[in-house]
Amino acid sequence: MIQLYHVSKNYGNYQVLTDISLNVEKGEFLYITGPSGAGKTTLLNIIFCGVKADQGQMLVNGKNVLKLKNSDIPYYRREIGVVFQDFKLLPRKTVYDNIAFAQRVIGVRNKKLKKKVWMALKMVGLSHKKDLLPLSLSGGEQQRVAIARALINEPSIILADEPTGNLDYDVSMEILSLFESANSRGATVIVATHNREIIKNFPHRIIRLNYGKAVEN
Amino acid sequence: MACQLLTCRFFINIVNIFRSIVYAFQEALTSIRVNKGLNAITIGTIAISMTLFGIFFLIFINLQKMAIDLGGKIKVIVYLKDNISQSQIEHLRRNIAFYKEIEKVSYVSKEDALINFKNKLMDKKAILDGLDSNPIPASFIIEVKEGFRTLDDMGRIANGLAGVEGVEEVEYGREWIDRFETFMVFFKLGMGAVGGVLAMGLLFIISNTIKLSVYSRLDEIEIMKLVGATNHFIKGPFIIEGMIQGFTGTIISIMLLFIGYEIIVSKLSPSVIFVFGFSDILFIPSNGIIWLVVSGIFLGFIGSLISLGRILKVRT
Repeated sequence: MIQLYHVSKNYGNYQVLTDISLNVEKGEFLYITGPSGAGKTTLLNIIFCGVKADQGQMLVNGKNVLKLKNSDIPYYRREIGVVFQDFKLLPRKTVYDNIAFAQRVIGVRNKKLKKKVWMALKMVGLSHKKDLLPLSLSGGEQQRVAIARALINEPSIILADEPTGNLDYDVSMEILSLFESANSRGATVIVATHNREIIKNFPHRIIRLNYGKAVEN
Repeated sequence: MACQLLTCRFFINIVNIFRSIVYAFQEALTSIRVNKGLNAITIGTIAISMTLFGIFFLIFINLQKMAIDLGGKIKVIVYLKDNISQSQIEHLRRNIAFYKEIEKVSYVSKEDALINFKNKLMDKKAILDGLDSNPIPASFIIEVKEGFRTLDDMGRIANGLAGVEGVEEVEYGREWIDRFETFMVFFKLGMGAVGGVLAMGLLFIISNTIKLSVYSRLDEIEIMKLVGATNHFIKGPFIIEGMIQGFTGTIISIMLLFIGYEIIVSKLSPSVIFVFGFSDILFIPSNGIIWLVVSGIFLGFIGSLISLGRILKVRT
């Protein structure tokens, strides 16, 4: 599903990733761990096409992603759902509109969109808060909105960058169970985290990054 | 079958484009409603910039009117022979009326010409008292329509009339027209250059103001990119917002210009008329107002496009 071959990335003189080779199978759940600054976010960004690797090759669903034209990147991203530590919600849009936004972007009609947003709201347990603005929600609730937005387009890949970074234990477990259920429906999930508790409670394959180099645990 | 499929796809595309435009409009209006402060600054900047441009435009049309008024003084004078008969005069009048370039023809008899000449001489008119006969010839004074006050057209009319029986001489102020034409060429070039520089300055100011509005919403653009929005989808609402800002700013500037114009005309008009010899100070004509509004919308459009261009080049 996702194959990286000798991928490296520098920011100026700073080597963030060094010769990373990785193979993630379809439907797999993978953790990327490591201390802050180890390159976890950069690795997810490369898969997401947010930054371009300086060296190496990357195949996603058989496509050579590093050779994608800029105009093709938005269409590639529609196959991926992303979740961040800081949620990245639109502060002036309601919960409903934040989730619906991902559908509007890909041109889904209103009738179908309403049905899908409603299902996504139900899935993350926020139907009763659909008309609120994100800032009036708790951190856990905001993250659930972000997950609903990431999942609504039924992506084949889900990337989560420290999704439980700002959340307490119980809420973190709830968030992880949402990723688990998406994974059980067939999505490939990659979670970058240094939260040992969630790894312990939801054990899966782990890749550890240390000073930009990958070590399989 | 293939043809039906193509037609079907064509209509689906049209519907999708229409839906995107409606969505972009809704988003632009929401953004204007939500970002009131920033929008007020942008619209205010556009209004001030367009007012400056409008002042330039007002100066331009009034100078142009002055030049046209001066052009109105360009005339063809057909001097007639002393022995010309009344029927020859009528024949000549019909000949002159044949030219489509002619706006007005007036006949000045020998007697009237002498009176006019005496009036011009004022207190020195006594020098004409010793004359036995009237030496001033009768003439036709021809005013030419605005578009034909060129050296070529005037020369053609003059040459055409010079050969007609009963005509002594035809004059049309060849040197004056030549100077006037040169002046108009430089006037238009100069005004075009000033207008061009001013428009570039306006574009720079407006695009930078719109850039502020775009930068304040970088997070929103980033999120749009995260969910796979294409650049067109992201640009749409910003461009429509820029066009609405351009339109509103220009309408405000026209109102400011009109108020300013009314104040100047009511309070300063007599002195300005005296100094510049204007018969009247003009406001921007209706087609000029349409032109200004369209320019304002266009500046908003281009300003947004320039501001967005650099931001959207970045991958995330």
